[in-house]
Amino acid sequence: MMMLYVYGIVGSPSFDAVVSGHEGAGVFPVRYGDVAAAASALSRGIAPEPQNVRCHEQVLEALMQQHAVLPLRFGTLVPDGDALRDKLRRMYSALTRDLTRLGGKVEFALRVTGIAKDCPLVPDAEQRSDGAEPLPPGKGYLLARAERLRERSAREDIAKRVEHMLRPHLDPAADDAVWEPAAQRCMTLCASYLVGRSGMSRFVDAVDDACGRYPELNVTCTGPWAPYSFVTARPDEAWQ
Amino acid sequence: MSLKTGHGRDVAIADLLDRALNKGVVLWGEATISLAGVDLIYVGLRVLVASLETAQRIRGTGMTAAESPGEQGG
Repeated sequence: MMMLYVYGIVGSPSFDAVVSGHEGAGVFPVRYGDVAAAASALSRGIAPEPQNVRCHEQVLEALMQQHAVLPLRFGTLVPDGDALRDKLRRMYSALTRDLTRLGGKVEFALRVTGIAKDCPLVPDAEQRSDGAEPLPPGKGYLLARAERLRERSAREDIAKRVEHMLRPHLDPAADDAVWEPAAQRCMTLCASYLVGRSGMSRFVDAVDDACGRYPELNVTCTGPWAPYSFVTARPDEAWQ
Repeated sequence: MSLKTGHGRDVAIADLLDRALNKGVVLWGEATISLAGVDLIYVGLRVLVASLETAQRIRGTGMTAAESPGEQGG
């Protein structure tokens, strides 16, 4: 049975033929109002493997050269054009709002590591080998838990400090930013930056400049990507 | 100082996967992907992955994913 794989929503009722989609399939518009979904007809789902995700992104990038585009989450399959148009109709206002806001903009991904060197992991109290009397199991557990919470809190404080160090250098070169909370045990701070196409060089320069100011930080910047992290349109139901 | 930019490095695909699989417009509460011959779906808006069979079973009994212990990832 053929289904439609949807790559993204285009801020135009039509678009020129772009690169091939998954499995070499053509990418065509499914129109509703002044927007169109970019879709391919496929007979089966697509595995979330790197080359397939790259293909998804390449279709979006090609479309973004011509129009405003909202990236869809990888793997979106719909039964047919009618079902897709019905969904576009229901979400039309939200989609057009996002298209207006995100048109001509791309996303950069930022990863910051090396931010917790002065906050080493605290060994579990239950596993201490300092020759002290073993603690009763309940007390050991509570102490270990308290230490882990303290450690986590310390790491979050450091992450916040790093964020506050970097943002004054990066934010002025971008339209919007999302910093993810750093609650992981392995301290990698992740952020997404929304940047206009004409401002990409300026943003990369800003990242470079921030790196120069804080050489202890290891910053990785990738992109430009479709603006995945900045879409706000949501379906009107979470569960059908 | 360490700054890497562009698409040509391993971290780039990690960043892209992180975005394409977890973010972007969700048209439906569910999106179907296929992995190793098994169709999986994102359930709700939270990238909780369950097999199609599991999802249909949950739907059939009127349960939410959260009410169905042990079904996630199934």
